[in-house]
Amino acid sequence: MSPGKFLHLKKCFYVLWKTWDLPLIKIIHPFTNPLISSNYISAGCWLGIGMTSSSPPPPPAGILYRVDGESLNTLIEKYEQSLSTNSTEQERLDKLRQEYVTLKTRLTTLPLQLDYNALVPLGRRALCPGKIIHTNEIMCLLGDNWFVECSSAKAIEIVNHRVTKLDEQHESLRKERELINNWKQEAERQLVETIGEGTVEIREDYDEQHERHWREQHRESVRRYHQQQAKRRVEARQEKSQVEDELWSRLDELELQEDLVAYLEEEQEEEIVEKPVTAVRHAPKESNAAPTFKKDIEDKHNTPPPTSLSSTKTETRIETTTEVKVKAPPARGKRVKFSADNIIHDISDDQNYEKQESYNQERSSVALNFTDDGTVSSYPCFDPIFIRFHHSALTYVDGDENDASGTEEEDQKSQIVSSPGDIVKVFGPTSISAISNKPLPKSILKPYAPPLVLDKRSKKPQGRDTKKPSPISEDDDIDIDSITINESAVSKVVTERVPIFTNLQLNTPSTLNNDSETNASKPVSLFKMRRQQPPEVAVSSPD
Amino acid sequence: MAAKSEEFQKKFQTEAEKYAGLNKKLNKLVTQSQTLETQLNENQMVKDELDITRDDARVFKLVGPVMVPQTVDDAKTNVNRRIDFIKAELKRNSDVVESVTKDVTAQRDILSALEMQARQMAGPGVGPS
Repeated sequence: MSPGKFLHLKKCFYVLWKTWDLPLIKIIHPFTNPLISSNYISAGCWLGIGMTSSSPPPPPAGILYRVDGESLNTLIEKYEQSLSTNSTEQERLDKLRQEYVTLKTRLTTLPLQLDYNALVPLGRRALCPGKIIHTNEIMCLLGDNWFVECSSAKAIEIVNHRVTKLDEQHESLRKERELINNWKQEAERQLVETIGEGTVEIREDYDEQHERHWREQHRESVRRYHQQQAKRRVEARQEKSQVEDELWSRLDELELQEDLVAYLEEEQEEEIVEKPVTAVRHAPKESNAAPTFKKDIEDKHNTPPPTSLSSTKTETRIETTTEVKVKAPPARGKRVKFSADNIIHDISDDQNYEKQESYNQERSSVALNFTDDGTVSSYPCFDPIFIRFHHSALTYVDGDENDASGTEEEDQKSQIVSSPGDIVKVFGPTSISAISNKPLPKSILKPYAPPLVLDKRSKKPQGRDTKKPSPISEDDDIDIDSITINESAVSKVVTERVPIFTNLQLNTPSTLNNDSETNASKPVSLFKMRRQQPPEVAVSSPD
Repeated sequence: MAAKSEEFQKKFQTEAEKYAGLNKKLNKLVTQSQTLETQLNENQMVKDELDITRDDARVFKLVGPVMVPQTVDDAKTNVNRRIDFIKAELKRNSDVVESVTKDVTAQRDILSALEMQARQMAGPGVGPS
């Protein structure tokens, strides 16, 4: 029974009228005709809306504690009680409201005449003929013994305010009524259930010892369960590692194959083609095992992949048998099409071989299929797709793979940017360097290190520790492993003055062959000059 | 054994009386807070009305049998002051009510414990009904 439960009481006030000039007699309008009453006291009516001590107990949160007929009955009775009080309050409110409405009409009609003839009550038993004057002057009780004298229009306004307040109270009463009704219905339903079906109350007595015993047992069983889980996890991990080992060994074989191929290719001294930018990236391969080439490959040929990534032949080439269907992902708002000659349909093509080969050199991508029954099968994931991006100035090629023939010529005509250096060639130098006359930024290469040479065919970098940071950032699609330092070519090769990569030496065929000839004509970089200075200058680089 | 039970009875009696007294106190406080609340509402209404009235309207205050004229500003300030006062009173009252309810619940627990004891003493073989 807390104060918070009460709805607040409201007092409704009455308008006190001054109807004539005799100061002692004031006519009040309680709920009666203003001309009759003669008491001076303002008859305030207290509206008690709050269910104070008789508020119905709301149902406890959740289910009823004791579902038996008796308690439910009492509960329902309580609800009914509160409902009845609610209805009485509502009636009172309605009555009051009605009276205010009549008062309002009185106030509107009263000032229409200057004075009225009336029989004025004198005391309790006498009436006397008189007049009602000052018809527009109304003394209103605001509350708490405060009065204000105002015209009838103003008084009407005050009455309107009060009526709205009454309406609010009415609304809250209605809501309360609804609420109680709901509770009552719920309780009745429960009652019907208990009486009708004879439900059995489920009682669980709380016994300390029993609980304690149960808790210990529970702890034990939980512990056992966790142990089992741990065991299972360990087993799974072992299995997984086994499978992984198999796969790594397979990967190693593939690597060996690639190395073999590369080696042989190098010996044949094929043309070096610039490696195009590949859009496909895979994790770098593992470290090499000792190379045993063909025998290993033959042995392991029986391993699972459905379409084998490599099959041995007397030739040194690796062939794949898969056909790659490339489906260009539709970019929103643009149509992205891949030039057909970058899509490798059959790796046996000479033309596409270099690309594929270079790709295979670096990456052996094998997709692992972890099937449900725990076995692992590997199959080659998507063949590398070389995607050439054409800029807007260039024509797009239809993405249809079958039209390879028709589109190659177009591609050859268009200028293709296959390396960052080409950007300058195609689109001109960057605006900064073009506009401003500032010198190009200083090279970031350490003076001690000879410039890096991109050489696709070469093996690991020779003159340099691979772990040292290379000036070429990883973000480029140029694989670090293919970078070698060609000591012999250093002194002769001249760096092209490319603003983006300042010290890359792109080994075009011309540079390799015609070193000495072209040297004189091309400018020498600052870096190179500095390098060729006495070694004291170049010491300051940190290792 | 009889003496013990008598003693226990007395104890129980005192506790019960205490409980009753606390309850009564609580009731009184509750009614008090009720009245305060109504007064507050009333004054709120007056304040609203006064805010709407013109500044030169004639306002009166009933003091005993006398109706005393007041200015609107005076009236407004008075009413505001009264409202603040009532609010403070209400708050204080609610705090007291809280503490008393706590005491009441504590007392109730004591009583129930005593009741259990009494039942046990009456018949240890008999389980709780």
